[in-house]
Amino acid sequence: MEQILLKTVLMLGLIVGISHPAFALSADEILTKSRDRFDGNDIYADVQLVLTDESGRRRVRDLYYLQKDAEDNDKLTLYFTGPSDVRGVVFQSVNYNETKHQDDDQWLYLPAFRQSRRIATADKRGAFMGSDFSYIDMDKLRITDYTQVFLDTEKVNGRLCDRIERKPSSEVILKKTGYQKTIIWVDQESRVVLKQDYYDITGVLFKTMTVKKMEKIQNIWSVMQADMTNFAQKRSSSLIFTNVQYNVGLQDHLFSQTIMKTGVSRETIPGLR
Amino acid sequence: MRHVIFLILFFSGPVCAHANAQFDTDIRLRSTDWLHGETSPHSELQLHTQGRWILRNWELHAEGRVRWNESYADTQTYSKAARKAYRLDADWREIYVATQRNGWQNSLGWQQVVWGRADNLRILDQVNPLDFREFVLPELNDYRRSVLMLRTLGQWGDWMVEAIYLPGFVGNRMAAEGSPFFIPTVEPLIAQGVEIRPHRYPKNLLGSAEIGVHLSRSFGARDVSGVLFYTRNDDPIYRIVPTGTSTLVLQPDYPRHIQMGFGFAQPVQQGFIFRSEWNLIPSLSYTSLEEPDGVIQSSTLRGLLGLDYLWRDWLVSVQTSDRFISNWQTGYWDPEHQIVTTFSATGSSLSARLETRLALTLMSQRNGQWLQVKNNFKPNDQISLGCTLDLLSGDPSGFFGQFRRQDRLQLDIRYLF
Repeated sequence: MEQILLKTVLMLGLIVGISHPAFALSADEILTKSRDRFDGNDIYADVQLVLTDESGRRRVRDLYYLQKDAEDNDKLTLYFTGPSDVRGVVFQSVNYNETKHQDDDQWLYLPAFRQSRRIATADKRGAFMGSDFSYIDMDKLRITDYTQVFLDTEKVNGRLCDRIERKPSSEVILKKTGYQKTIIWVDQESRVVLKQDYYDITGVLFKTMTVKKMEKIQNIWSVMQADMTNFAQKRSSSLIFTNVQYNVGLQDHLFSQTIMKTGVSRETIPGLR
Repeated sequence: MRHVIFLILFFSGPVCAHANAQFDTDIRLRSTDWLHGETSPHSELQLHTQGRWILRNWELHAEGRVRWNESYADTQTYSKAARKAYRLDADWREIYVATQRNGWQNSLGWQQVVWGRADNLRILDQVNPLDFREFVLPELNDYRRSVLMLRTLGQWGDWMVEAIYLPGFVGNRMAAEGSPFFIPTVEPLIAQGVEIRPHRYPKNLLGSAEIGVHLSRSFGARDVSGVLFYTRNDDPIYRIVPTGTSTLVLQPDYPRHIQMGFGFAQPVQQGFIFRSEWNLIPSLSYTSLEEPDGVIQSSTLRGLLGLDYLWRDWLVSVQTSDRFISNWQTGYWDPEHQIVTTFSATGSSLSARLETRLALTLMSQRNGQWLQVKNNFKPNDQISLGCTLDLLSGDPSGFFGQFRRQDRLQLDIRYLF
């Protein structure tokens, strides 16, 4: 089963039974299991992206989240439904299997220009819709881009997690992510990433992602809220998932460039409850 | 009547808004300060509203705007034509009914179709005519004119297919005479005694229809697209009418032609995206008063090369385009080449509350230059504060240079309901 964008952050997934102790696995093996856990053939969710600034003022962006697995890639469509200044914005990506050694494809459609543009993927440090999640944070979990070391175990939200340190394996990845290292907490039972610390290029911890809420939906562990706290900017962002549905039978055209022009409406997605 | 319709739409929207409807309205007050002080400052109030109503597979989309600029009430400064065009104006940006079936969308109504991916330039984007009331200074999306069309859009295998049928021809609209961005084309000839007949638009359904198709897909990391468009000149050419007298009589006309376009975009080294668009018109009509009937056909190729670079939240682009006219001669009203080069940087900061665009456009002919600096700050989701500076320079007879005295600073405040 392929990974989805956001998976690193959100880990909308089900643990494939881990019967042996975590310390028996290497860091690579833990993360590979996390990456490869079963999470359905496709996913639909309503998402709220909440941006809270240094004064505590909140701005909310609503979007539809559609993801589908294919043979050697997974496809994602994010369709923004509000507020009005972002309504109709569409972000699409195709993430290829890590074994293919192929860069992602990404496109952005801006209704103000009625144009879709291919976006380079060499720099993913940009803020995702102005939030504290950068595009690389939303990316799928990649193993070979990093060297990772198992540190210890630690509880997060009362759940026992494996704590792993990850460092970019090359200058290219360092430039792409902007992170000198990250520390990641992987839940031993569900293999969902429950927490991640991000260190900037100078080695200073500047933001932390924490999973605030997780539920089992259709027998799949699903993150319902992930918060990103930016210590440097004194801001935070939250991704709040509702109406999460797996194995909807999402059609291929929902991930085509056509949908960027026509837009997405829930009424025209067969199989959606 | 259109104004009344807009007001009904404006006030009915919030009432109609429910689970299957989206409705947005914003009101904007914009002041324009002409930096050379030769024109009095303008204040324009704009009401913009759009709605989307969805019922099962059907959708009604309506977007319109009303612009009111009381500065044009000044009868001493502005001509009757300018006052009529600018004081109160309303237009549908789009209004159409669409239905979706098996991933295909069919729509009928006044629509805008954008083909191509050029930055504020039109190589493949030739379907909708333009309204040059503010020259080329606004966003292209703001001065593209919607036209009545039947459109189908969907996937055919891996190809995105978009086919359009436009039953009635609509050409470009130039700025009204006496307005700040009026471009005199035939007026110097009229002053010399040349007679210009009224514009002649194709009347019947068959004669005025335009038809086109756009195909696009990705091959790996390469996006490709192709365009075929059977259309007419959006700007008139002028035929010499044989009268048997010494007076030169010209008839504006909008001849037919076929456009064949091709575009592609692909990532290259170091995170750059390379993109290119080409548009070939095998037989495009030009005005040349050295010809017996004043018109000559030449094959014309328009091409564009561009590079995009994404750096954090900034998209930096450079692009250059040119036009090649075969067998061009000095009698042509249009220059042989039209090299346009644009450097731009568009980005956001302050958690996307501040959006900035810097763009420098250069035209090699007559040293034309246009610098635009645009900032838009959104303290919250309801209020937007904008500031746009446009500086134009070049030879007074050049495209940009003709308006070198129309440099302007615009400040606007927009409230989104």
